[in-house]
Amino acid sequence: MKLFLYYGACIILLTSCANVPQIDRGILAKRIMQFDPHPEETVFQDEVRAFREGAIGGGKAVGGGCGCN
Amino acid sequence: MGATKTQRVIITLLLFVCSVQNAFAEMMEKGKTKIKTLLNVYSQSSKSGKQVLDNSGNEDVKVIEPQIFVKHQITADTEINASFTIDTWTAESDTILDGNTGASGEGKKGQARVAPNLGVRREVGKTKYGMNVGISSEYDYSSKNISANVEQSFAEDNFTLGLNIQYYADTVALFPDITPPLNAKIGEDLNRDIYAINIGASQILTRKDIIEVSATYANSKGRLESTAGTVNVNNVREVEVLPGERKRNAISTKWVHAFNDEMAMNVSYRNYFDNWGAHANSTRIAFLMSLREEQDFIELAIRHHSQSAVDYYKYNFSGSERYMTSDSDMSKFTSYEPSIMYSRSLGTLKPFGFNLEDAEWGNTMTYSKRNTGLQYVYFQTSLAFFF
Repeated sequence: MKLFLYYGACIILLTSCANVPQIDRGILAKRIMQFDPHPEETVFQDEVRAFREGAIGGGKAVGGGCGCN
Repeated sequence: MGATKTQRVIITLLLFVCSVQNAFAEMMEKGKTKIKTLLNVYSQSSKSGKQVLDNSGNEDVKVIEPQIFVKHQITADTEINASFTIDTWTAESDTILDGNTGASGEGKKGQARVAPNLGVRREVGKTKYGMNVGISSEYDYSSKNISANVEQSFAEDNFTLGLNIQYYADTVALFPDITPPLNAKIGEDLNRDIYAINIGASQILTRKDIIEVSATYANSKGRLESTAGTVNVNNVREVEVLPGERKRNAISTKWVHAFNDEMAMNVSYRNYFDNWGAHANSTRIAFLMSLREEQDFIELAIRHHSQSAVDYYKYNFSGSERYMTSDSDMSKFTSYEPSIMYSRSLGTLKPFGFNLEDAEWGNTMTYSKRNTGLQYVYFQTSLAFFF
C-alpha cells in the first residue's frame, strides 16, 4: 500500500507545464493517437493476459470475474 | 432515410444486455446508438502443465466467446452502455479432473460462461463519471462485480487525472478430495473477494505526443486456488494450496507518438510485483496506420513478457508444504506476442430496411508463445455500426 501511495503521488505531480492549444490538436484526435484504438477487442485481450500470465495492471482486467483456466 | 422509432426500440430491446468497461471515449450525439458485435475464437496448446491431474501436462483449450457491446446517448452528457458475453469453454485440462462424474454439469461436453454488464457514463464540465455493474456465471465460478470511474481534466484538457475502483464478490467451487479422481465431487461455493484501485494520468506533450502513467493495486482474499489445479507430492496427486490473500501492484506507462497524419507509434511498459514473490515486466510496441483517408486502420504490434515464478511454485514436491502450486501460469517464463489488426469502414449499410451508419468491420489475429512450450492464438472479428 505504501508503494501504491508513493506512485500515486508521483502521478499527481505530473502537472502540465506546456499547453498545446485546442487548435493544434488535430492529430491528437485521430484514431491512431488513441491510447486504446480498439477498446472492445481489448476487453478479451486483457482477460487472456490476466489469466495466462498471473500479472495484472495496465488494463481493465484485475483477475476477477471468471475461473478461466 | 433512418430507422423508424419502432425499429430503433426493437433493436435496442433485442440487444440491450450488459456493459463494457470502456475508457472515457468521446460522447456521441444525443439519441445515437452504437452496437458492436465481436466474436473471439481462442485456441491454446501445451503439454507442459505440471498442474494437470493425469501427469499428461495437457493444457489444450478452445474457447468461442461471442460478445456484444451497446452504447446509447440518452442526453448530450449521459450515456448508458451494456455488454453481454457468452463464453463456451472446452477446457480439457479442466474437465480431466472431473472425469465425467457429472460434478461439472456437462462433463466433457463443454462448459459455458455468461456475463452481462450494465453501465452509465456522464460528463459534467471537465469531470467525467462512470459506473458499471456485472455478473458472471459458470459451473464452478460466479461473480458479482461493480466498478466506478472518475476523470478530471486540467490545463485546458492538456492534463487528465483518473481514478477507477473495482470490486468483485466472486465464489469458486473446488474439489476438496480427489482420491480417487473419478469419484471426485465438487464442493460448495467458497468466497473470493477482489478489490482493485487504479489511478492514472495523461499529459499532452506536443502536437504529436501524449503519455499516460498509471498505478494499480489489487487485493484478492478468500480461496484463491484453481478448481482443477493439482500438485505432485511424492508421485501422489494432491490439490494445490495457496495463501488466502494476494496483494498485487502494477505500474504502467504508455507513449504515443505521431510520425505524420497517417502513422503513429504506441509504446507501453508495465512493471508488476506481488506478495507471492512474482515479478513481471511487459513491453509492447505497436505501429498504427490509417489508409484511404482514415477509411482503413492497421495496427502491427509485438509484445514481450517475462515473469518470475511465485514463491510456492515447483514442478514436483518431495513432501507436503504449507502452500503448493504447479500452475504453469505462475511459473517462470518469457513470451512473445505478435499481433495484427485491420479494420475497414463500410459506410452505411441498409439490411432489411434498417439504416446502419458508419459501419466498420474489424479483424485481429494474435499469437503468443512461451519459452516453456505453451502457445495460443486467437482471432477476433467484429462488426460495428451506429443508428
